[in-house]
Amino acid sequence: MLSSRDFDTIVRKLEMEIRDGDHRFALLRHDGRVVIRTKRSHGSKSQPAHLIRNQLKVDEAQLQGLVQCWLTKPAYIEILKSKQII
Amino acid sequence: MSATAYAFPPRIETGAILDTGSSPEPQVGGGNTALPGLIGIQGSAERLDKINLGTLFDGRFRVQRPIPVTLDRSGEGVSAIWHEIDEFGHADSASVATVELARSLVELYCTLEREQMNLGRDLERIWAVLKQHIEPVRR
Repeated sequence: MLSSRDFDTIVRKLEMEIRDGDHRFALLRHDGRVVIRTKRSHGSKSQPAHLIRNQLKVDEAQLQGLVQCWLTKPAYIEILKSKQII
Repeated sequence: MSATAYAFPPRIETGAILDTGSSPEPQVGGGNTALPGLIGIQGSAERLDKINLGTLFDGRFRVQRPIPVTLDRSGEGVSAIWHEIDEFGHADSASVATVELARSLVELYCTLEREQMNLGRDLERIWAVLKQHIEPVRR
């Protein structure tokens, strides 16, 4: 499971746009286009990490890297390029 | 063995409506977790693996093609997942997770509609899939 705190850490690190409604939606914009979206519930409830991972297009280790320090936004963008998301 | 339920609003027309069998009343889960508008249910949602969602529980939107939802109980709680677009709802019960998914879909639809001229290729695909299944109700 991914805590709300960890989710917010990722959103901040990737400089995602936040839209609060029933959920907290987060959008990643690259070169003017919205390329990634993810979301979490409001409050402190944890989210299934593997489902957030699918939305972010990363594997388990890369998700940990986003939560921790070693996977930077530029490195993440490179991952998206390698997967032809961008 | 998997079981299937069909949830649909009154206007949807489908030949895939499940025979309700011996269940005289709509049932999803137990107690107070029944989904509003969910009918044609066979068995308990807490035991189902898949449902076809036919409503978003939001009068602004109509489901024109049933949404295939997988109920995943492999971790903590239950996740209702539409795999094709990687969208989900997560809660303590299948019925609440399904409503969470429906709310997420409404938010996603509104977001992608607003950004439809500025979507990356994966979100363009997701937007196209969403539009095949969901349409706004024009008043």
